[in-house]
Amino acid sequence: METMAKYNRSNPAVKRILQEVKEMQSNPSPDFMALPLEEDIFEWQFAILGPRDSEFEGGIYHGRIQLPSDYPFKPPSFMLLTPSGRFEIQKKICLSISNYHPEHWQPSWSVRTALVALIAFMPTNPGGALGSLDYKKEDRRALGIKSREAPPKFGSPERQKLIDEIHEQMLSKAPPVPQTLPNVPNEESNELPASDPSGEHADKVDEGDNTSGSVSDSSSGLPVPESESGVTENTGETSAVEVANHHVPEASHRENIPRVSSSHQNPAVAIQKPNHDRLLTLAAFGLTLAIMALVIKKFLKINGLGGFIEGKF
Amino acid sequence: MSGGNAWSPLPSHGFESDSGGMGSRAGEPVARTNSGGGSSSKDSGSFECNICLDLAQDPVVTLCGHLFCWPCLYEWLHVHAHSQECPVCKAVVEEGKLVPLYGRGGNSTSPRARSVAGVEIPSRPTGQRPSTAPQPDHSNHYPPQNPWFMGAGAPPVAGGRWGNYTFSAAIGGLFPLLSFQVHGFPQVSAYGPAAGFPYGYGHSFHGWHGHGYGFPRQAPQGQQVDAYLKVLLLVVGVLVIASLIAF
Repeated sequence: METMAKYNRSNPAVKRILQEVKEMQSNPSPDFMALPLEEDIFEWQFAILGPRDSEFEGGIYHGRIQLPSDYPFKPPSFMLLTPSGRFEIQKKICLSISNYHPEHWQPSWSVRTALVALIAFMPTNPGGALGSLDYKKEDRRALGIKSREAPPKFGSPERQKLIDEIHEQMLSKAPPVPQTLPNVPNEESNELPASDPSGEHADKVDEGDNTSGSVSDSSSGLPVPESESGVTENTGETSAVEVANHHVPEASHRENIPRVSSSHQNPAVAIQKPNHDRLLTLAAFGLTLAIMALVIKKFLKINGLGGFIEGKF
Repeated sequence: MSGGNAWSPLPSHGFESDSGGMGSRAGEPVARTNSGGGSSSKDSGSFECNICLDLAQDPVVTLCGHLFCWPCLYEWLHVHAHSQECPVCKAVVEEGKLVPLYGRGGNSTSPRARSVAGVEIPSRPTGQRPSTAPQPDHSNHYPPQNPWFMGAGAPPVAGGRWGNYTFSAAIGGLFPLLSFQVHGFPQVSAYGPAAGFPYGYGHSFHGWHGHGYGFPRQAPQGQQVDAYLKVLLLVVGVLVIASLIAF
């Protein structure tokens, strides 16, 4: 059924996912890589690099993404496959970008923005969120170094082939390994997963209570990286920028109009000056004399109206 | 310009669907579609819906400036969203304030129904058309800024020379021919018109305008203007001397 949905181009979810695949292949990121399975476009495999300047630096962490049938109106679910000391493996993780909190999901987010957020969440305090772990920094660093040696084993042969392909490409992108001495990570990793299943039910109850607390924490912390990454990658913002660019030429075009009119007035003034210099000089002289005549005329008015009329004639 | 840009992605979209139809293998159509999509995204990135990432059908723009297909936005607001918020920036979205974009091409009067959601999409909101811009007022093309330019502007301005000559003729015509009392008023207006003189000034302007208009027909020349100025100077000089004697 899902296989047939892959070829159903009238399905908006399939169209959306295909667009995302094109975008991620045309603009690859140095920090992560994600590809869908050929048999089911709603099943993705991804790999992320550990964030820089953290105990996860240099690590390659593989994971799996399941997109819902009404994507992008519903959030996907994420599951990590490589041990990291931050997220449990083969267990859906609880984040604002995952299907645990559909009320925080935005349809403008994508697999790309989700992976950017996942990288940003790795160094944060898990706060007891579902699917989270809280290992020591040394152990996390050792797990990161170990993650480069070989990709995890998971799923069908086709999926494993895809995982191997992604791992090779991520190795070429990854920075050199930071030098650290391993501290027997195998024993510790073996012990902790063993204790988790025994107390699974109790942990779920406790984590359920903590989840409500972590919801506020993650929701308050999430919008900053999510909104930033979403805004930076959003074509709407690009459109806004172009609109702003378009407005500037219009303003300059408006400014050109008064310049033209002002320049049109200037030649007229310039033309008048050379032709009438003498006339203006004589006119000024005449005006001066006229002013004197005005003063005299006022005195005539004082003397009498008859004198004024006679003077006029 | 934008219409042309919006129109060009359509052929690539057709190519995209064609490649989808041609491909029989699972991998082959994906590869071809990717290449087609790559060129399409380069051309029309600015006009793609923020939800389906495809060229917007029945595009609408929110007050916060984000572009969506009307079916995608309707489905988000009425089926999936927990509140009326923008899918990109979570700003409040009011359907009454959505602005539709009308490009070239016929408007689709019958919106497509979403088969997946099973919801019929109504027609998108109509645009809010402001009133027509006020037409320019032709009577204000030649505002009377000062009496000299008013004289120059009164006759039909065929060219700069004609206007200039009319101006000079007005100067020549004003001083020697009008009465002694009349030519004194321009100086008063130059230094600030008094309240008691506007009526007389208007009367003198009317007579001066008539004469100024008739003067060019008498074979105007610069020499005559110079002669008039000389006569003006003589008359003013004589009057001043006479006034001094009388005083």
